[in-house]
Amino acid sequence: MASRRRMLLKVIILGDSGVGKTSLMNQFVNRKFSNQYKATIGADFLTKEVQFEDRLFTLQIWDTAGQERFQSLGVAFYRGADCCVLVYDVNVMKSFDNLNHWREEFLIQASPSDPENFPFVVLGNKIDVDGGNSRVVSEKKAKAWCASKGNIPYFETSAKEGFNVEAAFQCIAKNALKNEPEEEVYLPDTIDVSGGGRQQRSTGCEC
Amino acid sequence: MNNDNYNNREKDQRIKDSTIASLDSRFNQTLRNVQGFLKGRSIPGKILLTRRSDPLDNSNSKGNLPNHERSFSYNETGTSDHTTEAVEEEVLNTSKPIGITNVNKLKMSTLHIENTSKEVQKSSMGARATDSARVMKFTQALSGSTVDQLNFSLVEIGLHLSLAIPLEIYFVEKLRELAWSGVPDSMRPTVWRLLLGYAPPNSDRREGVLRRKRLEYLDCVSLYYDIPDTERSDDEINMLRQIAVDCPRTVPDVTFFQQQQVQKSLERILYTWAIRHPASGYVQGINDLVTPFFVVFLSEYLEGGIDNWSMSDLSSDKISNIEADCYWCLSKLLDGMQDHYTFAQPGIQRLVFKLKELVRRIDEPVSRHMEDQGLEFLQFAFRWFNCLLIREIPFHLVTRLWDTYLAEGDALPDFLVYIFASFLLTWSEKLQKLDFQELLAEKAIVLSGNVFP
Repeated sequence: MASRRRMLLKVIILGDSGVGKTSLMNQFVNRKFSNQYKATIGADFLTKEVQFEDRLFTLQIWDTAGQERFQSLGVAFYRGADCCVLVYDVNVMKSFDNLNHWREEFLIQASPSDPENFPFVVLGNKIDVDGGNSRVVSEKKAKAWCASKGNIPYFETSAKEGFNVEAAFQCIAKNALKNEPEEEVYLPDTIDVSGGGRQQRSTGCEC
Repeated sequence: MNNDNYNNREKDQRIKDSTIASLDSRFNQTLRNVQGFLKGRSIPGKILLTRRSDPLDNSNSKGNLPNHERSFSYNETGTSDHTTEAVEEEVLNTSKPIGITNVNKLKMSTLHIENTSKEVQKSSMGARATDSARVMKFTQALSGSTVDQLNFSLVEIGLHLSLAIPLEIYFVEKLRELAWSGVPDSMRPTVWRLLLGYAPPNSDRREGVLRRKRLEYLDCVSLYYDIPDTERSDDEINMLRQIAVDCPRTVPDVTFFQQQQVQKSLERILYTWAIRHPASGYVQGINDLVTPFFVVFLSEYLEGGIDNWSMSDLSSDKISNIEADCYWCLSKLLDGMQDHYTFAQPGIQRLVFKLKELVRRIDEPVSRHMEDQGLEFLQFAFRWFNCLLIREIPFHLVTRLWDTYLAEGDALPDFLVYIFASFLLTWSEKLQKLDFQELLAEKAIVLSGNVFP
């Protein structure tokens, strides 16, 4: 056995269809942008090693489908998340309006032990489009919403150009890490539903 | 034609009974077949094509159908008698999925004297035609009428009379049986329309019915699609928006689908379908499901490979006919799977559960390993069911896979369970060495490239 088991942090990306969830994940993990992504069905995931204060972590990023019809699957994918990323498209008002819905849906389905303090991060994506001229959600408006929900960290990103993506995920990882110890305390609650040992492994309890 | 309803019903019941009886062994076969093709690192088409091609018969009939490209399967068959492959071959050999095999067997047995050791299997499974012989059979079954409309041989007519099976049912069942192992490209559009029950088996009525259905589609489009947004409800606007978001990202790796006109066609088909199926409406992934129909029905009008196709070579009449065929065939396909796409998608949940149970019963170790790793079937199998594997195999193989799907007809959902189970069982040993993350990643890999180079 390795002397130091790597800690696993689970991150869930939510948001309307077409706001760029898959692109953000791939830009962060593979540093690539493609306009050939298919609509995500159910959920996909990628992992990436991240380093923090001399420790290595595995970031397990779950990219979910944006269509409402798939929300019933939430339980299977949201459970055990350490951080939830809410994404909207700064050029589409409705995708911003829906952030609240996504947040609540996550809290219901993932039922984290401490919903008040569960870490979210909000990303306003596609700021590159049309040189910013087609933008309909102002940074101010977005930040105001984030503040109203317990000071959720907010980033403006362009998955296409790779702008601010790294910084956003650094923050996501940091927040996920903050959440992790609490998770361990409430471990019994989480296990009984899944019946699985994932949480145990992910928290590195065997070390 | 036998008009005695009672007899017919009795006959139907008998067919049904025998189908149920053969179901178990059939699934068993299917399972091993799919495993077989996975090990064979090739497309499903070869499963049922292997070995049967005895060289003599093959050379005799080859001249008839120069365009048919099944030759890849012959390569496999050449080695079939070697000991290492003997077991697998035997499995491939005896596979015969569909109910009415006895009829076929009568005809086929003169061509193929089975040398498999499985006597029992043999009697119930029948023999498999060679490629070219099979194309001939398709041609016979489908070609224009001469004496009788369906152009069956006298032997078959006699048989049908003695069994009291209505000719049309017999015709479609026979087609189903042939189609299971692959339909020649040129006949695919016609065969698919027939298998889905969109075109009537009676060739005299066929053109008329299609004409009517195509007009009906046009009416729907003008009624539901070609209207200003002001006449749509909020839900409808949302649905249209969702479809518009998905059309440009439908099969994005095939350049043909990047054409504006293609995406517009898809949008019309999907929106019209969604409006007419309010119980589910549009669900992401259904956009994938139209694409096999689209390329198959286009292939009737466009020459060469899909990479050279251009929608602008087609008149609007033709485009509208193609769209109509896609619309109706999609409708027929999904009629049997409605609850796969309704709220909470109970149909898919049920199949995922079946898959889990099946794997647990057949391969307890791999099942336990996945459980230990906290891996839920829903996490990887959901998309398989939602998109019928279109995402997981190269696009040019999809239509071949769908020959079998459509031949399965109403049994398709259960058939899918067995296909997916065989994926997992085939890779069981490998999967048991992987942890949660590797497992999820591995399954994506298993189904997207490694297996189908």
